[in-house]
Amino acid sequence: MFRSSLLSSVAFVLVLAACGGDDDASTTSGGGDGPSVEIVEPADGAELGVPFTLVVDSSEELGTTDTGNHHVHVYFDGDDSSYEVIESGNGEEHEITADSSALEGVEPGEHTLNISLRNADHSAAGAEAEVTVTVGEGGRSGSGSSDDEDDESDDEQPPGYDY
Amino acid sequence: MTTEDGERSRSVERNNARTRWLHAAVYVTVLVLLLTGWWLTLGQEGRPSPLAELTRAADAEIHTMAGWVFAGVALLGIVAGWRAARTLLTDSVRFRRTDLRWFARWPRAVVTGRFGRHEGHFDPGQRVANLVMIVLLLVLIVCGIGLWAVSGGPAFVWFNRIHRWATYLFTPVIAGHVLIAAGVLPGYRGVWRAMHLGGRLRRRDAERVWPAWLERIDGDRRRPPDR
Repeated sequence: MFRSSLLSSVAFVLVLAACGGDDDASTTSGGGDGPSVEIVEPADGAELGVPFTLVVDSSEELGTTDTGNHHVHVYFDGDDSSYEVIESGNGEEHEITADSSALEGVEPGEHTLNISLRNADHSAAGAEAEVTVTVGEGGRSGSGSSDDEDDESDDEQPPGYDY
Repeated sequence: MTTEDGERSRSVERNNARTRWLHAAVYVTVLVLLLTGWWLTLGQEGRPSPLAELTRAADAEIHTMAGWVFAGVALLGIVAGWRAARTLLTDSVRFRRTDLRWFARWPRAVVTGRFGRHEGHFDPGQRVANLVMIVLLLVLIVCGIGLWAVSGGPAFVWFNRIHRWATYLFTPVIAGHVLIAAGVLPGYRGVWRAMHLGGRLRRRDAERVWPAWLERIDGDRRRPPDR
């Protein structure tokens, strides 16, 4: 009885903590003294072209498996069967291109962009983050913002044949 | 004499069902481990391998799980089949001067089938391969458990390095074993039967590859039972 009350209280506090975050920041888990990770870019609600820029920031140093450091898995809609791996550049820009495995099967529309901090052995390190984004038509260049409409007219121009 | 009896008299059982099942469990798990391990090593992490597509699990997860299954199979093999494990080990470490002649003739014999005489349960090449595989598989298991236990950090770097190098050495050895066991090379034609289906190989194949073992088997059959 005591145990279930305690668990309910802990769950309630965790829910409150999750709801009380800054709206602009990515939703993160793995707080406290444990490792943390967040999505700096794109912002929550952003419209993305492909390729787009991703910036993640973690409390842990990132590196390849050989270094024994952590790395980050990037995927969409909670489906981590195919993902992109970020193994360097904490707080730096990474370009997610059209041939990224993270974008496999992702249709244009609203999606959840997930990141998960991983130990060197690929097991979950206990820190995750997500933002909701709208993915535009593939193959168009973009940097995570929606102000690249000007490019559209260029795409539809026929090649300039000279008769 | 029926056709079946005729077949049986022309063949001899090399491995019993328990050994064959253990061998099958080992090679299925090793195959999964090699496939997923090399997939990750070749930089394909995040892109599901055909096996990951089939199982809907990440390659790293499949590799870890298969590693545990393999460790379990190895332990089971040692505990439940300790007598066979002892034979495998004691015969594999025993080398005789005459084995040198066998090694000298081996490169031509894989084509002609005229191997040098040897006295072992396994041929001298098999004995070397057995020892290399046992040591490397043990290293791979220990380092694999180490990788899982520490998850990351400086110890992980060393476990990972040893795990990788053991794989680099193990892969060509296992490829050679498969090539020989598959019977592609004329000298080893028919030996695949020793570990598959009924575990019975033709007497002429046994005579060519494991002559002393066949003689011992025949001698045991002729000898009257102890009273």
